[in-house]
Amino acid sequence: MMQVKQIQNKFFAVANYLIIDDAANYCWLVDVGDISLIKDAAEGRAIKGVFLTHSHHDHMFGINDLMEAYPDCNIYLSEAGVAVLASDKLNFSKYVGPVVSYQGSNLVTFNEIKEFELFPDIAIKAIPTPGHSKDSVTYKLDNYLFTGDAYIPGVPVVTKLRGGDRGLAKQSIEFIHSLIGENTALCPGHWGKSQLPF
Amino acid sequence: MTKEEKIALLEDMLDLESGVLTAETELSSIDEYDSMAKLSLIVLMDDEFSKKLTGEQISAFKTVQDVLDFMGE
Repeated sequence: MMQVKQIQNKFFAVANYLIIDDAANYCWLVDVGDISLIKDAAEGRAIKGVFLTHSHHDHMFGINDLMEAYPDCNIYLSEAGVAVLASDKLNFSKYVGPVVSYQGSNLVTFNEIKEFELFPDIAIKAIPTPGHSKDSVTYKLDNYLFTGDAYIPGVPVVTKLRGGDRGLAKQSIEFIHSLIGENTALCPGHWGKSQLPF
Repeated sequence: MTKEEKIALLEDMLDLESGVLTAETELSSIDEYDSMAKLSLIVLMDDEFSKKLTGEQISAFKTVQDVLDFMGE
């Protein structure tokens, strides 16, 4: 049986999600933060891959710890996110810290809707939903919807950061709303109010 | 860069109509000047003026003029 665990990072109140199948000894991540929290939640399972909702630093700050702990892990992200992941300027960590960037390999990129198998007969669908950033992606897995910062219920989408686009954000939100049904388990990118130090 | 160009940069950053800001405008009166805007200001100072702006310095800004002064000549 598949289950999804929310991991609540203190940093920026960002949420990561661990996708587990009882029959498998591996699991998958959506966004990557504090590796100690991730390992606790994984309970000994290997992490086979991480799906990035976008490459702003608060959603990928644990990437180097992840790759050190699980060197065969793949990183799934929008093609537009590769440069952001690799630059502490573009991912904003230079300005708010801790400084982080990733220029390694193991990247699996896409620029349109694409499906990836997680477990036998269980696939996750990557849907580009730009607006908050050029590389924002929403992931759909069964009735779970991982929206990153493209849509957080009750919170206006932030579009004023570099790469943001209000028009695209509006289109993306409308599309995300069309994916939400009665039984949808919405999994946004933050579990609480993210506080900047100013 | 002229003073008018710098103000235009700020208006663009805050997604405000041209002519809304003056040097005397108090930052606390601008609804759009939230924490995300302040992060954008830090980025702008780095990108356009090669200046490092800290959270402490941002907190000390009271008016648009204070921001222009930081931008320098």
